[in-house]
Amino acid sequence: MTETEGQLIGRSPPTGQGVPASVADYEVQQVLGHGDSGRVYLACPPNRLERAEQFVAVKQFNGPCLDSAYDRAVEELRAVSALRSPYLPRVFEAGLAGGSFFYSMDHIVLGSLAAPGRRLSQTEVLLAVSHAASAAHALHEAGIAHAAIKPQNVLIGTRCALLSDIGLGRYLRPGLTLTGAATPGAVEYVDPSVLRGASPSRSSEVWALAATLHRAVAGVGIYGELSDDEPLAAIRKMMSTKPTVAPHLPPDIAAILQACLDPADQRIFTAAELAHRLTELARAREGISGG
Amino acid sequence: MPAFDQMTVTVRPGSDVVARMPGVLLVTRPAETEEGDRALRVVLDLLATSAQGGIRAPGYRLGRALRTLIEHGAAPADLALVAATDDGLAVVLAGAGAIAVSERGWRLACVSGRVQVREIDWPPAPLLLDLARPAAESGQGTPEPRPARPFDLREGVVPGNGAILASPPSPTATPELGAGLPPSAPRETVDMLLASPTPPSRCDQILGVDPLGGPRPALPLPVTGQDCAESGSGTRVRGYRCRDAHLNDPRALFCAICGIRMAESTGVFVEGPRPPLGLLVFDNGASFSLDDNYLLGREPDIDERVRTGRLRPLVLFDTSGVISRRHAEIRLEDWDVLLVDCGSANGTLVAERGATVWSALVPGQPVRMLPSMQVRIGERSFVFESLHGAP
Repeated sequence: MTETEGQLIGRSPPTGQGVPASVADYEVQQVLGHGDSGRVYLACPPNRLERAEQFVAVKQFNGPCLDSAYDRAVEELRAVSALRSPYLPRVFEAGLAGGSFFYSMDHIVLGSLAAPGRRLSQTEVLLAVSHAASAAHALHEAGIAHAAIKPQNVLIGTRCALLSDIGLGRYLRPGLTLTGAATPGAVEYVDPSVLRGASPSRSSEVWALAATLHRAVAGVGIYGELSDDEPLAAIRKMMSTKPTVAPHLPPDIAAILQACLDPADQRIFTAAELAHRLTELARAREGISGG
Repeated sequence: MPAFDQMTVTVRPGSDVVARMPGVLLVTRPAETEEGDRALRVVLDLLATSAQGGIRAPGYRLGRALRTLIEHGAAPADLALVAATDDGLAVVLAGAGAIAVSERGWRLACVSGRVQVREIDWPPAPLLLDLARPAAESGQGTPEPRPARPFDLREGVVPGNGAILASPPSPTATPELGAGLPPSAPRETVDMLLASPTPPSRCDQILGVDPLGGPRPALPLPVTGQDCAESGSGTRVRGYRCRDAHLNDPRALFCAICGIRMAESTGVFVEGPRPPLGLLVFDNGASFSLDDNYLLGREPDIDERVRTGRLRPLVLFDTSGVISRRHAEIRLEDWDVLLVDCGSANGTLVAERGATVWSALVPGQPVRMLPSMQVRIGERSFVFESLHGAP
């Protein structure tokens, strides 16, 4: 069988909708999440991996993967792993299962900002996005853009939040700017400059972090509620209107959000600066509530 | 009567234990000790309890409960169980427990001795539950009961080396594989579900392995609109720069990046890297940047130009079977986006903005795509979203 990389459009490949018993020799326990690019499973690692963890998360991409795409994706994952950031989950290995690319990583048990395992306070959300911003900055300093920052990828760990699922679609599906409507509302976290064809950058990731924070603390997106059923209308709205910070947000949070959503040359320059401002704000709030 | 209980169960002769109760079928091998007897009673009590009250789909609760018992050593370490769920089966495998669809060569067993609990669709052919034999007994082979004989364990606990859960014979037609099973069970799903775990065809360690390329330069700071041009294919085009130096199609009235009127442009015709010309927005929301040429189709990788990197592959899946392997090409020429049908079997349809009539492209004849033009290929469709709004 010839293996190739390709953009995958339309219905999923004919592999059915059930939960597979395994991805390669990882025993699948359940589906943790799914999008247009693939699925994330909770799985038991094989003995050959020699991991003590009972469970790991396995992300498997849809569709076949060419050797060149595989090599680039592995190189990218190794570059991320080499950072050893406490705010990035560890990735154990990558491979091909049934011709599809997959990788295994830490399973973070407390959910994500999109679906936290318990209700998070506003201060906890600020800290979670601060940690995600720290992770993004570490990536940027290493010459890597995450390219998929959104609430679903900010995982809530027991000690800190982690930024997961770096956008490998750039290598597995060249040209892709949006992975599709299977991830609800994914478009609202994409800086319009990226929709226009710009490469993901520091400023587009600061923008995405702000969109993520806004969704988590305000409960609505910076463009209101974009329709998942009408992706073209959502894209047009984003390219023709300016994002709006919800008026009911506290002024201190609103000010930081606005500073991230300004035009690229006026917004907060680095994710590290955003992380610092969010941490300071969280500390100040802790002081107020503690006092 | 629930569908599960309409299925016949044939017991394979032997000394293990086979139990059937409403909605549940179990094969187990309790230890030959008092603890083993006690563990068997615990499981049988659990099955009996789950069957009480006429619960139609005991599989959900039973799977979780049984797992807990096994993990605490309160149930036999070797067992295979299937139980009805609303639309399929819950499976619990422990120790030597396995399920198989022999006619398809599928087998699912425990790996590393861990308890497996999962939900599956109905298999398309009889499902065997059994326990791997100890090495001393292997090779002796247990003869399968003759399928033509009307064996059927309806309810109870009996000795046996395995059990086959089959469908009842159809009253109206010649019995065939899968007869009587819910039509919604897709064969591919069961194929995937029962595929044995196999090591990856290729794998590479990530943790603790440095990348080959060494350190990279940090991402630039600050970022301006210039990076739009950098992300293009490297093709150079001639156009006008707006007041903020964004290169634009000479026909554009407004800058594609900052939106200011091109009347305020520098007025100097210059050459520069071509910025992306727009997006292809598919019906499922997936969007692709028009910064390179694409080949669309079912298997675009068969094209030499894809293999050599001159065209990007864009694989289209659909179930209608009308998409050709090489169906259509998106070609960027200067500031234009051209669509070409590659001689596809069923054609490429286009409709201009707001039009309700679709036109078929003439194979091999490029058509310049206009802003908001819709394209239909088989069951898939996409819209050309122009960034430059050239007339």
